[in-house]
Amino acid sequence: MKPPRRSPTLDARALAFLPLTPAVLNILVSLSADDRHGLGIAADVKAFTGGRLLLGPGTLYGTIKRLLEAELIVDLPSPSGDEDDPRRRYYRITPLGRRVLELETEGLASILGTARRRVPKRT
Amino acid sequence: MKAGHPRRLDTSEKWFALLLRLYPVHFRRRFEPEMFELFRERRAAARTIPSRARLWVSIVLDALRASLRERAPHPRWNLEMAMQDVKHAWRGLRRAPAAPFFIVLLIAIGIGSTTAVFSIVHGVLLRPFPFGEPVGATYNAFAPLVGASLGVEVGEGAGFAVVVAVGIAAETACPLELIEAEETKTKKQTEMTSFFLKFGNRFNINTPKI
Repeated sequence: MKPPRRSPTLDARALAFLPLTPAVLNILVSLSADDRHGLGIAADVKAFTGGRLLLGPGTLYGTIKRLLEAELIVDLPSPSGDEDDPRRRYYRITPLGRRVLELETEGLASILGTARRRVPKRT
Repeated sequence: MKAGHPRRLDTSEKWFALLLRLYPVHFRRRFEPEMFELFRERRAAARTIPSRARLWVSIVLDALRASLRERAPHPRWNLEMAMQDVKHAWRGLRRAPAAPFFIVLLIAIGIGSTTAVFSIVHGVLLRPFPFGEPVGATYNAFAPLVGASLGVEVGEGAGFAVVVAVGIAAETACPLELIEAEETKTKKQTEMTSFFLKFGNRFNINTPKI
């Protein structure tokens, strides 16, 4: 099956955001699976990094603000099912954000592959 | 309790609210309730005193870094960049510990030599004489350069100075004008000559009173 064709404009815009900072990368990875609110993103990042990365409130919401401004994510009103706080904002990754994430992970995978080939495993 | 609902803040929440004041108003308006929610969750997870201390250190550093970034007019002007510079300098110091010694030595030599030269300049050229206005002849050494006449202010005991002035006038083909000291104080000079009289070099030749 042929891979889906990408818009060159989208790719050009996405390339301008690379390389990503750890906070941006982890937030985009978290949102790539599901729409989440800020607290949900922090919990998800903590879970999938094994507690190695704890996003502080300033870093988390500062990064979210910049991602919103860069149109890599959009905010959604709280769904009616959220009983914790109706004022909570949910965030969703945009096609541009997803493309940025794909390009970044491709680059990282390439580096990781090279590193695995070159650096011998310690036994 | 539902998050974000108004209630009385406890002490640690008051401190966190104070930290939030570091952020710009528009940022607080948009994210403050959610930031409080995250803080409460983190605080609840930190049960022991060391973990609470670690939490506060990370919260304060995070607030400083993020608020500076939010307030910085340019993305380069943030704490991260400054910290990177400090780390870079520290690594450089550890790699070459002798370098700072030579840098300090060079700065010391530079400061010392500048001070010594200024001391000489001050002692020879700038410091006023330890006695009053000398009696003798005063004339503007720049006068021949600007085409003005070599006005020689002649006071008492100016014999030798007048001889020198006459010599200069002869060498430079400059007209010589002898002026009595009291008159020259009130006489208006031409604009250019006045400038040099004020700012240019003036040769004061003092001849001993016989």
